[in-house]
Amino acid sequence: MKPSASGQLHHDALYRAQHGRVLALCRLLLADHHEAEEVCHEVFVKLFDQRAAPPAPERWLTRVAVNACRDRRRAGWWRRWRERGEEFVEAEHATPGPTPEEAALGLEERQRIWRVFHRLSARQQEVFALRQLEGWSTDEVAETLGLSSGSVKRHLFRATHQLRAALRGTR
Amino acid sequence: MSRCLTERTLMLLQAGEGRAEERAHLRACPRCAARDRALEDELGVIADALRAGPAPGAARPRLRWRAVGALAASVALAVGAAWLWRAPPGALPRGGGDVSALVEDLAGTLFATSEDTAAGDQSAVDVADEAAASFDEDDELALLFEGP
Repeated sequence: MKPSASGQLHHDALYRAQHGRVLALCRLLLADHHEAEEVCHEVFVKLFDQRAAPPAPERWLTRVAVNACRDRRRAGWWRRWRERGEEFVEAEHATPGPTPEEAALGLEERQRIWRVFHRLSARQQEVFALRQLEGWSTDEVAETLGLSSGSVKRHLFRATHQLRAALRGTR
Repeated sequence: MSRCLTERTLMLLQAGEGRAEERAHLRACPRCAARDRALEDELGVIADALRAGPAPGAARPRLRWRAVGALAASVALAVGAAWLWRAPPGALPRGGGDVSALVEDLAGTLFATSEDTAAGDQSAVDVADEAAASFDEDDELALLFEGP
């Protein structure tokens, strides 16, 4: 099922506008650049399979990306593979040279935040990413992840508490 | 509402939730307002760090445990392989006969009797004499420490 010419243009524009954001979200949830690229690719293939762009394409892409990352994490082989290749991935694909963010944050602080983020449960990571980084409302996060709003708040509080503790440890 | 807000309530207020009286307290209480600003700053720093991508060397400390686990697994495998390699006692290869002969010789030497001496087994005599001498010395030492 191919989209029409105007639909194709729309999809291309969406790809250019959203690819970086979706890739960053996948990388955050998977902690693996190669895996994140694969999942991001799958997400956009799903978008291109749609006859017309979804009504709220940004939300749609985020939802599909979060679900795809969760599916990938649930696969048993993925966990083994990721843990085997983790050192390589994080060392190889980190941003080369100091970026403005890195200069502002400090490397140690950033490392600690990333470590603590990946010690959180998958749910806590998803809730924190959607709520704090993507700016979704609690109800939207709850609907997307199939949780009650109370659970979302609980996950968000625990994640925030641990990340703040990590941040304070470097200051 | 006079009590200061909990961390959880502050976080919910940051997320655009919470009750009206909690918001009123936040506006009125300088301490809670300062905590709220600190939370906002910290959340901003955390969000920037996570958006910036993984930092070099941000691998989880679990890696060290994986190395220890791999080493332990290797040792366990080596011990298991060595244990499996040992043949059961009844199925020793030809070389096992030499070991048995050696054990018999050793036993004969250590527990040599007068009959062996008569048969001219001088090495057995030497070993037996040394054992007797050490026994006598031990007895004398024991008597010295114990007294009459």
